[in-house]
Amino acid sequence: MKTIWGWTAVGLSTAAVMSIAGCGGAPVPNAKVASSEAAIRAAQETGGRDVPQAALHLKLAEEQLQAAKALIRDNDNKRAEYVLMRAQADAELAIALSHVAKSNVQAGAAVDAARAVRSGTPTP
Amino acid sequence: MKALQKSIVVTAGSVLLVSALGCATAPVPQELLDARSAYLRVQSGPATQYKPDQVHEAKISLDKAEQSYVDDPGDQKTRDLAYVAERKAQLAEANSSNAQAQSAKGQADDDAKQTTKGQLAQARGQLATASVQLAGSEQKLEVEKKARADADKRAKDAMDRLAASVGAVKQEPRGMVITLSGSVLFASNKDALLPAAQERLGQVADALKTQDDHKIVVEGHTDSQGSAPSNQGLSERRAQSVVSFLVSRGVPADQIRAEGLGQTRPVADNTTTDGRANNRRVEIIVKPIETR
Repeated sequence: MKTIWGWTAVGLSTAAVMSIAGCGGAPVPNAKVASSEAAIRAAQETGGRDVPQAALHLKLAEEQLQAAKALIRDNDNKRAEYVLMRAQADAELAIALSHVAKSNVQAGAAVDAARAVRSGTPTP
Repeated sequence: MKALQKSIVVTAGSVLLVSALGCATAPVPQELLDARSAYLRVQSGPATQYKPDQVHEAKISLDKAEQSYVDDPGDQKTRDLAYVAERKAQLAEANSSNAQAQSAKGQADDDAKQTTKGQLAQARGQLATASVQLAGSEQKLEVEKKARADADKRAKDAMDRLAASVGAVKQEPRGMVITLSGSVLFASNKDALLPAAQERLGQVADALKTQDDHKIVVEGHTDSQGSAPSNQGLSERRAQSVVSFLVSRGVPADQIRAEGLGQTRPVADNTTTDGRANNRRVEIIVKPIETR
């Protein structure tokens, strides 16, 4: 009797392990989904769509976020985590690229203004 | 030196990678190749100055991808890590560009500020110089004005004294006219000045010397007795005598001339003794020179 119960326990725990493995063997990466979504929103808000280079990476981030969500639905959480890392990296790059574009415009304006001040020197 | 050391490390790393590649069965994924070249580019660019921490992070990401490739060359995970590593390198590059642009803006702003400051200082300097010059010229103007007023007063005083002593100074449209009676200046039918005349004419000369910038005409006039041609000649000689005397007393010769008008301009009746006496006269006309 004791051995039967022992084998049953072993079998049950094995089944439990198998079912976890069936779920992708990893928990749903909720934190990574949230941080990727936040980075994408930030990229959109910094005008990522208006700067061509930033827009490219923003689009890649959005596509990868959707792909990761599909993977999570298919229980492939492990793969989804890596795709979310890609999405996050692209969104962050998009933010940086829109900042560069803005700074370049401001720097150009400042240089022009300085030149104007210099050349507009009121000659006595 | 540091850059050289770094490039040596990179070269050594590449050699190791190549040897690792030799052992690996699967080819190096495109993502890893991209990540390596992106890191190489960043690592030799300005990002090492502007964003060294982010360059370091990119290196760590690349190392992870390389490790994953060594551990399991065919794993999808290697591609993902390499993809992230390439983005990290690009991020460092972008943030470095951003910092450079901001620094350029700061410099340009400072430059503009300095230029404006310099222009302001220059303008202030010019203003100060102009003020000093203005004060100087105002003072000079004041001195000139006073000198002119003094000269005018001296001239007027001289004329007033003359009028008081000679008694016949009139302001007419043709100028200031000093009339001297002929009988006081000359003996009858003569053109030599009488001794008494010299004293009077001396006063006239003193007054005329104070009248700068004036033209002086000495006119000789006679009464109608005798022939007109002889009167004309007499009036000319008498006018010339007066001019010569005045010049000898310091009146500038280029300001004075003589003119004989004979009997043509009587001022009184030639039929009476008194009238004829009045007509025998010398007029000294003092006019301001109009065109200087």
